[in-house]
Amino acid sequence: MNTDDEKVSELYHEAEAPVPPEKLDDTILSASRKAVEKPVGKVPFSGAWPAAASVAAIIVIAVIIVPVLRQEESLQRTERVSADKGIPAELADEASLKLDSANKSGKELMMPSTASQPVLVRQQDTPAAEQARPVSSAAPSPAARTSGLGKSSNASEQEQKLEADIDKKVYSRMEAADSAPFAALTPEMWVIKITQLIEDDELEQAKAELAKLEQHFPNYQIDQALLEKLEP
Amino acid sequence: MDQDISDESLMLDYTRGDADAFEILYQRHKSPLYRFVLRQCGPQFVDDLFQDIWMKVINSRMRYKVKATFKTWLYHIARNRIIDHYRRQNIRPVDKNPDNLASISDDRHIQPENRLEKNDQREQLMKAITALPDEQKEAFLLREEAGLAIEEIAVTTGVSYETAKSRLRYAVKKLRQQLEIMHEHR
Repeated sequence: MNTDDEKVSELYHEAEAPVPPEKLDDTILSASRKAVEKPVGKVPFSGAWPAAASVAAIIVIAVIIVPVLRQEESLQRTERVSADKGIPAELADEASLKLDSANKSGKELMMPSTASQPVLVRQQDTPAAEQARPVSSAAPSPAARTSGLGKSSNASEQEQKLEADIDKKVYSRMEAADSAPFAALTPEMWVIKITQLIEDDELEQAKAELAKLEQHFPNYQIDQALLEKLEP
Repeated sequence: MDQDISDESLMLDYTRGDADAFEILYQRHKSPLYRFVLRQCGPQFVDDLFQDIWMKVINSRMRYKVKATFKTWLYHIARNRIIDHYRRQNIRPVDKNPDNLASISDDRHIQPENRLEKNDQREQLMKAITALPDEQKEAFLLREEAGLAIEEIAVTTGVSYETAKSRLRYAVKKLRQQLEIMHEHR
């Protein structure tokens, strides 16, 4: 900066030097304080609560939605079974639930109807099944409903009777549930049943069951050892 | 003690929530900045623009990076705000007609010689500054009010060092010429 520049500069700084009014100072300083009083950089989805919300959402899904899906699956299976076997859906449902609980607990569905004979071995013509039949007729199958059999006066009387006697109805349902697993046999259970018949030396009946198994589950791979036992 | 702390440290402190740091910064820079705006935009706009500039500083605090001096950043914000002001208002800061410079001296020419004293010289200087072309006036005020070096003026105004230097040189030359003209008329 030469002398002339300095002279201009000196003259400039000797001139009046206005400053901002105090009111303006107060306004700006107040704004500066307010700005830092607020949480800086705080965004709506910051902090720890989103993680907690995620955990809560997972728990809700696990507790509510998964059982609902299982129930849905169970209902679908029940509908299939009842459609295949022509038994009332509500009975098949109970049987299916029973089957589910047995599968869950790792038990085989071989609850003895008597001390010596498992449920699986019970046939539709066994005494227990015979006891269950009136219940089936009391609650007509979809097929019976469509054919009009369910509208018979006999069935109607029985229905009215069952409705009047709730205890009896509950009891009948329980019995029907006992017999229902026949309709819900899985191939594995069927194999157990056949094995049991072979052990009881009832080979003809075992062959008949094997034929039914092959008919119902044509793609199921039956153990070769079991087949050899039934071969002539 | 406050004088020992750099502007940049104070600004960083403010970004971390220290309002007192901002107040120190404000006290340091408020008057030169106020005059920088006043000399370019006039008294009718200075308060609003001055407030806007500081509000911009406050609201941009989280984006502040110590890439240049705080002063350079502050005056860069001020400059942008002034340019925006002109653009919105569709007005010119001053009448840049070079004839006005002569008219200043012409006015003085009819004045009695003994009335052209120091105060008149200052007054004439201010008028001469007002009449400078925008870029030259800006460069001059950045040096005289903000105390920026030519390198910093170049950074603040976004031009090369040579351009900034040239603008400043022309500004001072014109001002000096005006003062000489006045002196001759005394």
